[in-house]
Amino acid sequence: MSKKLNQIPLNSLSEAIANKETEVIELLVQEYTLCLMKAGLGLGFSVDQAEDLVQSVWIVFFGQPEKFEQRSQLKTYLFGILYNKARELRRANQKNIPEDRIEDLLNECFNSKGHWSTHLVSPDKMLESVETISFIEKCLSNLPTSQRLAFYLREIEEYSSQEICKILDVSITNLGVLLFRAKAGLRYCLEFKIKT
Amino acid sequence: MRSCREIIRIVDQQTELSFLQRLEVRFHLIICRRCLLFAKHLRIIKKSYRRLLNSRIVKIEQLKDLEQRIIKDLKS
Repeated sequence: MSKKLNQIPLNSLSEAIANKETEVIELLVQEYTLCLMKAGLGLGFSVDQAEDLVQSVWIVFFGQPEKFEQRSQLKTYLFGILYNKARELRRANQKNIPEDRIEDLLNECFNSKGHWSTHLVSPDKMLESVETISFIEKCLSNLPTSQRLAFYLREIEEYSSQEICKILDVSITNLGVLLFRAKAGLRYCLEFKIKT
Repeated sequence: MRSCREIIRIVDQQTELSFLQRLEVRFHLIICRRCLLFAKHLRIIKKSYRRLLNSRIVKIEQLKDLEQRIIKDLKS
């Protein structure tokens, strides 16, 4: 975090945000735009879409100022707004949002005893699939936003479960399910792409 | 003993498992080639995802430009 931003006491920071003070706007935007942009791209949006997304996050942030008890809450709060905006953007862009069928698809991979009934592709094939940009982008865009953001925050931001739960507003158990479905969904989709 | 169907749900959460659960997963992966493949796939996907994102990192000038647009927008 920039030194200047750190020097502002917390209570006056909240006030400055509410008053849209020029200096605070500049400090915050310069501090957090990169991580928001990265998250937008990590969710599978194009550069243009991600830029629009980030812009709308800032508008919401300064439109409904919130009191912060810790500086670390700033970033997680911003990710929370990004989550809601990303869901809106997805609904607006994708006419037919695919249903999340990963649990059904997984069920078909096992026999009644719980053993694999399907073959898995080799690690080399999987690598080839995931490195095909159009494959990984398509497979990411098939995932529900909650799963994608949970996966992003865990893998790239390396957030703890508690922090991710706060951002997505889900329970720990629920987060475990989201993360599993994200990974299993990506794997299934990438395998399907390379097999066909 | 857990079946493959159950193992794949915990195979990637090693840090959140108890010692005994970790041992069970490890043992399962020694004897089960497909679960081992599943685990390898997840590792490959996570690694490639990170690499892909790092290579797509926005250019500094582009980022500065975006920041200036946002700041201008917010001030008005």
